[in-house]
Amino acid sequence: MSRHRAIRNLDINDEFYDEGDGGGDVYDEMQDMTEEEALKMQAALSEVRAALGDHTGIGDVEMRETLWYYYFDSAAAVAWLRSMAGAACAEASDDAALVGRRHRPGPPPATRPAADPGGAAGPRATLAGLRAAGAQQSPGLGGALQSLGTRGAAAGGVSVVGRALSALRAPVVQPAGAPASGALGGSLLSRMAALPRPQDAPTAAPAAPVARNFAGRQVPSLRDLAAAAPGAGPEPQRRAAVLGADALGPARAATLYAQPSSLARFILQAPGPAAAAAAAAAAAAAAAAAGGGGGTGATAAAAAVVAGLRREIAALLEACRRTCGGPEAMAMAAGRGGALANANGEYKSAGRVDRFAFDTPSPDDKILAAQSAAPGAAPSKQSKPLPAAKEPAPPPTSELGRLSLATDGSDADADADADAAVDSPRPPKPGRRIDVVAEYSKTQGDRNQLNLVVVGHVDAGKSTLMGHLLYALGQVSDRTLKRFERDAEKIGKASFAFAWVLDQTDQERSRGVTMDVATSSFATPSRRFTLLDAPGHRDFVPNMISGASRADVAVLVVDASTGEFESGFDGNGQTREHAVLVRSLGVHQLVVAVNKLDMVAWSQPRYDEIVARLAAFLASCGFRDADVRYVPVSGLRGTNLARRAPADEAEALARWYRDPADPARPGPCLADLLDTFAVPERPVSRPLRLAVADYFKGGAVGGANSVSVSGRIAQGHVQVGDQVVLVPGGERGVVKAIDVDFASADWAVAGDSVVVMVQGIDIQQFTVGSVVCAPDCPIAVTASFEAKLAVFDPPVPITNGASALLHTQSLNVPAVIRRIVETFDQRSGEVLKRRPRHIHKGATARVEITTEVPVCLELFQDAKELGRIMLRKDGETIAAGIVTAIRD
Amino acid sequence: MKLVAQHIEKDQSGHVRLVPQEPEDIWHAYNLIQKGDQLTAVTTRGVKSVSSTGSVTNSRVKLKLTIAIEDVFFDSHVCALRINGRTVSESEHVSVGQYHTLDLELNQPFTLAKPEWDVIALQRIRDACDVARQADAAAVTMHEGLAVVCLMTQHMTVVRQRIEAPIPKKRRGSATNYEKGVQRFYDQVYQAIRRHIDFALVKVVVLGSPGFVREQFFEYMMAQAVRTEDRPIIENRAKFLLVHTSSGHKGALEEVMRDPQTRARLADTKSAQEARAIDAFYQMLASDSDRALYGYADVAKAAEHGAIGTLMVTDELFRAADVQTRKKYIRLVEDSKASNAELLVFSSMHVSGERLNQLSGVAAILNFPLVLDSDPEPSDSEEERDKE
Repeated sequence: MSRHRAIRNLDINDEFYDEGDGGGDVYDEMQDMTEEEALKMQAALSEVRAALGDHTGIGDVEMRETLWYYYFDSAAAVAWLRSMAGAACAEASDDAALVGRRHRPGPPPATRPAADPGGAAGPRATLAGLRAAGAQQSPGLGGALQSLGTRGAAAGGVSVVGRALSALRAPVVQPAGAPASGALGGSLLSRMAALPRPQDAPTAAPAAPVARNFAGRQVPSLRDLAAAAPGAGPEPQRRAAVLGADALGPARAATLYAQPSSLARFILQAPGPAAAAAAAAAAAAAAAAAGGGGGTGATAAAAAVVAGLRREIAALLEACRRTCGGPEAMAMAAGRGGALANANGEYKSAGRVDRFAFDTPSPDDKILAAQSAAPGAAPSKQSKPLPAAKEPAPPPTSELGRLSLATDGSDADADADADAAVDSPRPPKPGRRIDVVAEYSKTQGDRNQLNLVVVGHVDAGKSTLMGHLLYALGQVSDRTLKRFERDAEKIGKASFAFAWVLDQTDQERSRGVTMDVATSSFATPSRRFTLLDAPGHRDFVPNMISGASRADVAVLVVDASTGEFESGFDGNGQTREHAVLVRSLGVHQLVVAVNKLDMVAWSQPRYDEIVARLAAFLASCGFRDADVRYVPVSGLRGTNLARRAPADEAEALARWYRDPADPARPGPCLADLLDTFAVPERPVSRPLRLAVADYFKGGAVGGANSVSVSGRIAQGHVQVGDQVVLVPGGERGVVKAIDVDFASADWAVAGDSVVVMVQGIDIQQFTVGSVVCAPDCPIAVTASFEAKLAVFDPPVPITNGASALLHTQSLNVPAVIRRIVETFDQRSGEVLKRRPRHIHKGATARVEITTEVPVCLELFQDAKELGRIMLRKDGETIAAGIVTAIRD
Repeated sequence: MKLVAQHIEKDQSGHVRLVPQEPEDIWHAYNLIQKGDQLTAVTTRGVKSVSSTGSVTNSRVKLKLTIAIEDVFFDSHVCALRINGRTVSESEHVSVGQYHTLDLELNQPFTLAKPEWDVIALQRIRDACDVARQADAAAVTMHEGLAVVCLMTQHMTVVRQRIEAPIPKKRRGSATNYEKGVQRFYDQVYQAIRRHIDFALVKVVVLGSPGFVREQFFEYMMAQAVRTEDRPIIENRAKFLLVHTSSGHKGALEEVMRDPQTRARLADTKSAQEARAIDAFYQMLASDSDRALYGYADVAKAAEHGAIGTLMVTDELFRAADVQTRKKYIRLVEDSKASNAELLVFSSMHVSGERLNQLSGVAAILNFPLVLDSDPEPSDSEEERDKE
């Protein structure tokens, strides 16, 4: 059976009668008041009220009780009440006077202990009673103390109380023997019980007899306590403070600085026998600092007892706060106060026998309640507003409260909250939103970001060229390059050192072939580039398409050395295929890097021949002459990459390659040409579309349940905190972090190559080819659509039912040309033949396509990037197309 | 398949008794059994009997039933065939006209009665009972992140497992995620091979991929096999054949069949023949489009002219539920046979059969060019097929 149950089952009356009738009940007495007495009470009450005025904030209940105690001697009652509300210090040091006053009327004398010095310890007995009540269900108070002591921060507060009690040893023990002691304890306790309890002022009265009862019974326990608590006086208090400080951990230094000084001053002011009261006051004050009388019941009781001290204590703390430099010390004090309040709450609930034993607010609630009660002191909740409440509240109370929550390590709820914040995606905080479109248009002048894909036949030297360019532009350190050179030489591929900058997998390095798109970034004087180094090998064209679909501009690298250009350009070479592909994927601007020209001694005729052949071909692909520029380079030597080749470096080149604008200068280098690429208009204000090119667990900010998605934003914009939806699947998540070009950013817009960290969507939901969309406008998912195709040069004609691999963005899926609707003339759009049996090479046709699995597509007219498709068959690109209608 | 008895009358009606012996025979049975036929087999049925006192007892009884077939369902993955229909034979437990679903089981004889045994059905029985068994093969097509493990028998290509493993791309500064992903992927493929390929039955295992994936995977697999002493893999090292394909999708099996190495090993298998034929068709279409026709309307016209050199039809057409459609195609086959055309019935379970299916299911290479002047509007049936 739990102790709570034991308490609930306790028969109050039994307990009471077991004790005998030695303990008359004040409350009962008041209940049994005769009519005459009641009238007297009324009269006396109004007298007392008038005498006290309203400044004390003493409640009617207490007044009545005091009056009853003094048997309607209103003058004595006023004196007592004043003294209580006034200087408790003086009261404590003037025991004798108090005793005299208190026991003067003593009606009816039989129920009052005669001249009992223990009675002098009114406030102390209150504490003791509480303490005893708390220990009711414990094997002994020592045990209770111990168990409470195990609670880190609580230890400080408890020790203070415990040692205060030990200081009272003698007076408390004395009345223990007397049968009438219950009455004394009872009367005092009833006063205590009448003190406000924030939660249940009305139940205070019924609880009173029980508490008193306990006080009577627990005297032996008190003795134990007295024995258990060693020492007395200022020293234990200091220790207690230090203990509390230890428990507070991080704020330790501040505590040590603040506490001893304030306590020392305290002790100086309340020396000798008053030390106990001072200790209690310290506890109360600490709680008060946490939330202006926020500590519940026990604290409030203690606070009432030492009400006079409060102001001074608060002032002291205020002073201490000032000396300690404010917030930190306050946090410390608050933390301690909170802990104390917790400790009090705990020990109180153990001793409580009323029906609230089970729905006692959690320590958290108490602190929160205290916080809310703090600044205005919410008098309505407290039948007896505490003097402290009238003081100017510590200004940053709410902040303190929060801090105290944070410092209190045992606060499970706060932890849970923190966990929840990590686990569940929350809608973005309003007010933190950035108007990305406005931001973008503001900075448009500076936004010069371009995605550059490098294409060309295998072994044309794409990776070496770009690796060398990155090195020349300072993106690769000398040390790294030295290491590459050394390692490359070791495996007999010394000439591949520059390519290793981009070819990072062991496979790529050992085979000397780029297999997948490598992403990097660099800047020229007026442009920032995201570099996509595509593989040239025909088997990796799908990867190349993935890279090229993310590009705005391209560099086509051709090998100028004898025979190599021809093998890459004629027949099955990838020079043609890549050029066609990048054009079909929406790249208009092209720089042709005529590489390895040093192999043919920078021969101008060779260069001109290559340029002539390419120009004709590229024009046929749909590139405008003005958008295609040529540059002779040597990727391996680094000639004409980042700076114009000086005459001494490549004499043969310098002889004929001059700047057309200024023949005195050498011709423009690769970086010069890149620098003059035009930046296309970005569809920033359209709904977000981010095609997933790659995804992986975790990311820059960490968090096991988040997924990083890399790709290029096709349209729209995204910012940290945005809700996004993943298509297909429709799962929603929240953007936690954004990386643009390997640097963290708050937002990103169309055209940016990003890594976006999304939380709230399981990694299983992602596939390459998924699209991250704005939640209110997701992309269409379809397995059937209509497209216009430009057929290249397929080895066999395209028929109805022809199968092929459909490439869109980074995705490739098996697809079938379900039906050829018609062929039409590319220029005029005139229909040549309806429902032809097959499409021959070079034709344009409208077809219906179905895919094996649904894919994310958009009409070309709505979103160019996502409305483009490529059809490949047996490793050859057979057609490119645009989506004109989406079915179902 | 074992042919136990055959009674076919002069009007082509009659019945045959067959015993399926291996999973592929179930596929043959699927191609034979059609709506409207009658099937007799031993089956079990839950019988509910009500006694005179009104108590109900349920029992399962084994009984021989004949049903008039209404529906046939085939599951290619487990080679299971379920036939649904009304009973026509009297039985003490089941009254005539009650529905029953038969499961065809291996080594359980069944009797199939057809009102008309056509050439295709008879050819099917001959094929099914052909004891000269061809080599079974396995093929794994793969590219980074995708692998398809298939088993190829004479008439079927069954995908045993499709492995899709996310492989993070290489990123600037680190390729470890990529390499880990690749290792995980290879391990999955290796486990799939161990699980699905029985080296006692399979003569060759083709590994097809673009790039270096096949070599890399083969190295990985052998290293793993040696490390874990995986005897079957080590001993059958010679059965692996590495072939270039352009992707890892199932469609790449076509390229596998086209590869000279595979051809040498699987020369006479049906799938290799089919692949060759469909390639020839496309080549003809590219070189002389008037000598390659597809679609029922065109091919039927060519048949009228006696122009057909090779006729390619998928078995799917002969499984058509509609008797008229079936008869139409059978007439086409018989007509072209009359003009000495070579007939190839493609298995729709093979990749080439799938391809032919998409190409309307029927195609022909002509002996001489035939210019069809008619408007190439598709026939109604084709429209219907498209809609499906």
